[in-house]
Formats: sequence, C-alpha cells, structure tokens
Amino acid sequence: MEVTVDIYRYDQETGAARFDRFVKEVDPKDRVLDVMMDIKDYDDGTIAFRKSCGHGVCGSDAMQINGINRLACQTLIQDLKSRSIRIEPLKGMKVLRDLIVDMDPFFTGLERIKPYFIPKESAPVTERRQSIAERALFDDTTKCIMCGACTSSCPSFWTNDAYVGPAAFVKAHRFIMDSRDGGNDQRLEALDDKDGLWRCHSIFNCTDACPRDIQITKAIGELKRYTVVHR
Amino acid sequence: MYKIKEGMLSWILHRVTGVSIVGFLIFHIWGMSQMSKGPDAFNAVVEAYKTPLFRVGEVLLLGAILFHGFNGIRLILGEFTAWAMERNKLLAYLVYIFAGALFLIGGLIMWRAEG
Repeated sequence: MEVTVDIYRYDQETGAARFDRFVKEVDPKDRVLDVMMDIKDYDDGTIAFRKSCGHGVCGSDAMQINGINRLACQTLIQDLKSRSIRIEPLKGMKVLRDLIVDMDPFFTGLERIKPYFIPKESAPVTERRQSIAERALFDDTTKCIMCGACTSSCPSFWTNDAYVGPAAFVKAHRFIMDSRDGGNDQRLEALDDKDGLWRCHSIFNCTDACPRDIQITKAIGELKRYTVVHR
Repeated sequence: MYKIKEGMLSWILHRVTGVSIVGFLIFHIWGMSQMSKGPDAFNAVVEAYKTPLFRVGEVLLLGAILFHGFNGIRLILGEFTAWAMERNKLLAYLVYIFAGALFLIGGLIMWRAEG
C-alpha cells in the first residue's frame, strides 16, 4: 500500500516552517512510527522527532497525526483510514525543531499540583492499608504516561500555556482520590486558581486524544466536584 | 488544524451562540429604549423588525437559544454526574437532534407567521 506522508519541518535559526512530502510503500499493519523511522533512515536523516521505547509506554512520540494527538508508536496505518498522513508537532507549545516541542509549560503545570505522594502521617510499621474500593477510585488515572497528548489537545491550553492542563489534573486526581495521601489542601490551591480547573470547558479533546484511554474529562469533573465540596 | 470532534464542535457553537445572545440582549435593550420615545418611534422600530434582515435574525436567535440551552443542560449534567461524562458523545448528538428539530419546527412557524 502506498501512502503519502507530509511531515512538518521547522528550523529555529531561520524560523522557516514547511511540510516535506514522502511517498512510501507500507504494510497497512505498520505503525506510523515505523514509517517515520524508515523515512529518517532512508530518505532524510535530518528529520527530528522524539521516540524512546517505541511501544506506547514512555510517551515520547506523542504528535499530531491527521489532526489528532496520538502516539506514533501506537497508531497503525490502517487505523488512519487514509492514504495521506499528515504529521505535525503537538499544538500549543513552542516548536524547537521539526516535531520536537518545548514541554516546559506542560511540566510547570504538573509541578504545580505536586505530583508525588504526601503522607498523612509518619510511616506506619506495617504497610499503608487500602481497601479495593478505595483503590478503585483512582485506578483510571494511574495509567497516565505523561506523553502530553491531552494537554496539547486542549483549546484552553492553546490560548494560555499557564493553564495547569489535563495531564496535571489526571495526576492530581490520582493523588487526591488516594485515601493514603494527605496533600490535598496544597493541591487544591493550584486547582482552584484562575489557571486551574475552571478553565476546563468539558471540550473532551483530552479524552479523545489519550493513548491510554483515560476518561480525563470525567476525572476533571470529579475534581471540580471535590474542589467545590472541600474548599 | 486540529480535528473538530463532537465536544469541540459543541464548545465552539456554545461560545458563538452565547456571545450572539449577549449581543442580542444589548441590542434588544437599545431597541426598547428607542420604542419608548413616542408613537412614531415605536412604529418605526416595529416596521424595522418586519424587514427580512430582522426576520432572519429572529429565526437565527431561536436557533442560538435552543442550542445554547440544550447544550448548557448537557454541560451541567456533566459537571454533576459521571453518568453524563461517560455518555458525552450520545448526549452531544441528542442536543444536536433536539435543538435542530425544534429550530426547524419553530423557525418554520416564525417564518410563516405574518410579520
């Protein structure tokens, strides 16, 4: 099967952006990342993009493929249902080169919600017990690989990169809903802020983009209710 | 260009209709104030409202209010219940169907009515 691949190119020194076109013979079961590696190896070695594990775990190769943020390593050519593939960098963040963006605003938002365990009390002699029901409350949001597909799919983030963003909300949800965690007051400060939860307009782009199928907008809704009740 | 799916389409329409309705309200208050200036001014405004421009505007206003209202209910349901969050796409389409159907019926009635 022959596909046309258009890849976004950007050179920071000249500030010139363009699309480079490659026509490739591919197997429908190839992943987009396979095709990109093929292009980089045999057609144009100067194309820059991030990839690490190549198996949907590290979250390095999130990019905009045919208008939707996805992982190149998880997207099969046949699932695109199109013979033309358009690959662009994640939206809303500064492009450094080609498909590589500056992820700083993403991580700044993440740091604001303190994405780590803050114990309620000093460590017990035995383990911290938790019931199955308590664990189930935040099971969905433990799956995040921090690829940035959600945050950079959000129109609220496109217009304001100080917005904490869906990925950080997912992490906040993971700890706030954890019965063992005691840092909720500190996290709510970042959530209940002008750049916090209330900029979410339930657009659902994040939920559609998430490569781990996390129900992000639903988690944000739970955080909104939690914030209203507890603050 | 990011692909516009149901959620984003609804959000864009919600913004556009919301701003339009606010714009209408400001215009409406101004129109009312013109009407209060006497019988001649009152008749002039009523005559202006009978022109095709305003009649089309009134039908579009109906559509804007219907969509904004129904979509607002969907958003409020989502804010309060996980049930609605899990069925976002279905509810978005229900909003399109309900608002669209009432817009067609109501718009037809309004358009047929004597100006």
